[in-house]
Amino acid sequence: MSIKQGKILKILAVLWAWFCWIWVACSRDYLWLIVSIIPYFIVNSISFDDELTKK
Amino acid sequence: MEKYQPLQCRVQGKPSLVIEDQNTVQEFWRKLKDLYHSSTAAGDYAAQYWANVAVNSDHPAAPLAHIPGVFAALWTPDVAPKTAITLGTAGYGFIGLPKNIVHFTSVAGANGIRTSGVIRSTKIGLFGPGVYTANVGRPLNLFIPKTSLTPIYLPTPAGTVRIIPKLVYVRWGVHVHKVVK
Repeated sequence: MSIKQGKILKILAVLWAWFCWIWVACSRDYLWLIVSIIPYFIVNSISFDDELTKK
Repeated sequence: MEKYQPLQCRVQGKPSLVIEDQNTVQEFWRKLKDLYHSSTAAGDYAAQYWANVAVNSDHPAAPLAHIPGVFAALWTPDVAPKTAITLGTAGYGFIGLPKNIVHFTSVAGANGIRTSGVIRSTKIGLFGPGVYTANVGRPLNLFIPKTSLTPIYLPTPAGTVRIIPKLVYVRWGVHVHKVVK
């Protein structure tokens, strides 16, 4: 996976988490708190090194 | 007479102040109760005042009176407990932070930090852009990327906020954090 693809995945995971948190705030369905971070954890487990882009 | 727990005031680094005299403690709680009732009654009166101005005034800026009205409504008898809890939880983020903390990064990132003397802000962070730190690394802390296995031990940056105890701390912002070499 390229660094660019990894970054796009990470952005999507962050957007998903925030969408879930807004959903929890509106619906009080707290189960979505757990669902919100699962994609982010998966992305963190994929091996791509975005640190290489840091100058 | 009802027996109250002693009052204790603790300031970090100084001896605690303890008040055990029951008359003094009872008087303190009575005054606090009176203050709560009188202040929330004042909030109620203020909220009603601003609502009247916003609705009944002919001035073109009258609707702006809703703004102070909203703030006044936060300290009315029904809403005040929720307001107090919301303000109290702010202590969760800022109080009792560890003096030292760890920034986890990759080998390349650590080399960059050693060379430049700064930790760059994470632009795409789960809790916003900033410098992320923690007290626990992988495999327990899944908020840390798989490649970030190199710890950088540093004094807790000023402005750091606790998001999740032990797992996620962040100093928000896009500017770098200088580390002492």
